[in-house]
Amino acid sequence: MNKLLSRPYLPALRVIFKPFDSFELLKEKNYGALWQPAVIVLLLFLTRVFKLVFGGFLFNMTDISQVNLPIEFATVVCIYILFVFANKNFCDLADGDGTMTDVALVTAYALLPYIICSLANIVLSNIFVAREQDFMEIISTVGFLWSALVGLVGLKSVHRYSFGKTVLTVFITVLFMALIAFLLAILFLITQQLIIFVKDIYSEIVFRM
Amino acid sequence: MKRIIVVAVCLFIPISTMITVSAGSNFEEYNYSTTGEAVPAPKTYEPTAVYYGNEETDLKFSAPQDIATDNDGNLYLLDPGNDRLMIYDVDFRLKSVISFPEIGGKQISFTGCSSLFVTEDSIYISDKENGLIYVLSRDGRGKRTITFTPQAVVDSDFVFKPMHITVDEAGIIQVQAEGCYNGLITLDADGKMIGYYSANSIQTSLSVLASQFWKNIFSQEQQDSMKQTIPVEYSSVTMDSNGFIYTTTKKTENSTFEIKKLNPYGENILGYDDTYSSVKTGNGDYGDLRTLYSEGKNIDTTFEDIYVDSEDFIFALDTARGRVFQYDQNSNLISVFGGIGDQMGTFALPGAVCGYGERIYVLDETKNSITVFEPTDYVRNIRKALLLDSECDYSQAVKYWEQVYQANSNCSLALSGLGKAAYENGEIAKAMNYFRLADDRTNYDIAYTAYRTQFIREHFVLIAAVVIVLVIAVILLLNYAKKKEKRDE
Repeated sequence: MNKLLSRPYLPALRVIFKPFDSFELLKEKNYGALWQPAVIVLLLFLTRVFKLVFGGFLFNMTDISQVNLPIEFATVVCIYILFVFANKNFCDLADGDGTMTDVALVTAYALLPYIICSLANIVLSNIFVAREQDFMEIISTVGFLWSALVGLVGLKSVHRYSFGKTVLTVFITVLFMALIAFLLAILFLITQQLIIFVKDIYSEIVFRM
Repeated sequence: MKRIIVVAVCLFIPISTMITVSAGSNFEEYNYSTTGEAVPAPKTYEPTAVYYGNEETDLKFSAPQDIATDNDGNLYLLDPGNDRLMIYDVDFRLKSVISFPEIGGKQISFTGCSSLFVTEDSIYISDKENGLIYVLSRDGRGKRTITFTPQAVVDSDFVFKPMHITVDEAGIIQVQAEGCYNGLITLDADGKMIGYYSANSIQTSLSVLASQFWKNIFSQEQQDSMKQTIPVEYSSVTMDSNGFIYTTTKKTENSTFEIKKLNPYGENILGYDDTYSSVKTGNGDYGDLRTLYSEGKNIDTTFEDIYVDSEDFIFALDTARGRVFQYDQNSNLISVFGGIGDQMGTFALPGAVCGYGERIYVLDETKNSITVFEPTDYVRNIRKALLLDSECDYSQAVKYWEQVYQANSNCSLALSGLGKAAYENGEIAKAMNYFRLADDRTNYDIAYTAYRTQFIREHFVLIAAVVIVLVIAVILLLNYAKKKEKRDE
């Protein structure tokens, strides 16, 4: 536990510009503090909120009265946790070397380019007119590809996979996420039924007594 | 004593206000907000009179089928239940009753007739049961009977059942026939078929895609037993003062393009805004935006009849909920009035809509009545302003829009109109604000482009300085990072 908390800080901007070197540091020398992924996931949530609140009128189609902040927050956090959990557990089966901490750090760092490009787009959406929308699409595509690249390189380093195998495992991880979500939904429904059943029995007994 | 007076006044006030409120209309009007929510709107049309037809003739209407008006405001009512055609003048005084007119020595009956169309000198009546079109002169003497002569493209088992008809100046007849999904049938003056005109297109939906998928797999026999994917047939047709044909369709697969304005090639030329597709009016979605699922049935707007007035405003009648929707030439929803009910201004089974001047007549086939609607000042202002806007006379329109805005500050048409006037005046920031409130993104984009150009021109030095400083800062930062890296190594 102490070992986990005493991990040194790894500059996040350095990670996205030099992913290969940085992820070696992360794997070999246990760089990367645990508060970093938390901050980055929070940033992702804030970016989504900023996009709704500060996005330019021309590009902001969302009806703000339909937005529910707790649900937005839960969505971001749940998807992040689900991905980390699914990837770590699947890669354990597929000879991956990464620990839960490694995967959590890599996934968080990989979100950073997307966050930066989204923030840039929020600023630009207040400047651009409708016919300049293509520029913003280019920026968001760049952000997405950059994020994907950093994520793949990171997962490849921490699991010590080949590049092809990394891509394959990420693909299966997504399927795993769907499976877990499905199982959770079933669990939720069954628990609900169970509670109703117990309640029914209780009220039946109360009425008969 | 004083207390008694106070109590009496208190009792009286709510009662008296209630009476003034309920004296207006018996239906609640609404329009759609920028986010597609139905919100209450001021009164647009008020029912002023209901006619049952027994004042002069001691005979009530019996299942009346259609009404039409001519240029002088005379109202023609087709009353097949009593086997007669009635003509009223503009003040609804009975002019004449026509029954059993003779054509070529043969008396004709109106029993199977479904619709009529009035031109400069003739009355055209379509007989659905016998597949004929009768032509009478305006004073009710029989002229001729038009029989349908099909072309080779028509299936041999096709039965000609004309419903709604329009006749243009050259005598060309457009027929909306029952069960004819190939579009309108165009006939020449003698009834010889010229061809089909402008069928509805098949709209893509999940069920259409699914049946398309199975067709690739199934054998020929299985395919033959499948439900055919065919276009929806029209429910009504009418003609405006310029000779353009308008059609309605009861329901379409995606609930879009139920109302169409056709050019001579059969293409839809009714304007709509498809740049920002969201749930709102004006993007090709006519009638109510949302459907109601009740008792296993999906209740959607069902367009039965259409009327286009002399100023090219479109009135479409919805039989499912008894409402009349008024649109302008850009598919903007102006008003929704009427409803299903037993009071004045509501209907049991509305069958036809027509009008003269700014008056609107709605025919009820079950109540056997004609309801007359008169516009309020609110909708008069909207119509005047929209007409001026369509002539790009925004500064003239602004005084009408201001009155509309005072009556209903949620009216996005008014906000948009005020924005256009402000933009023309050069008050760009004000215009942008109006367009933003109206959710009019197309015009906001135009105004914002102008605003940005102006802003850059005014503050060019400052912007250039900021850009240069930023570029220098980035270069310095990169240099610093490089140096620091070298030092670290």
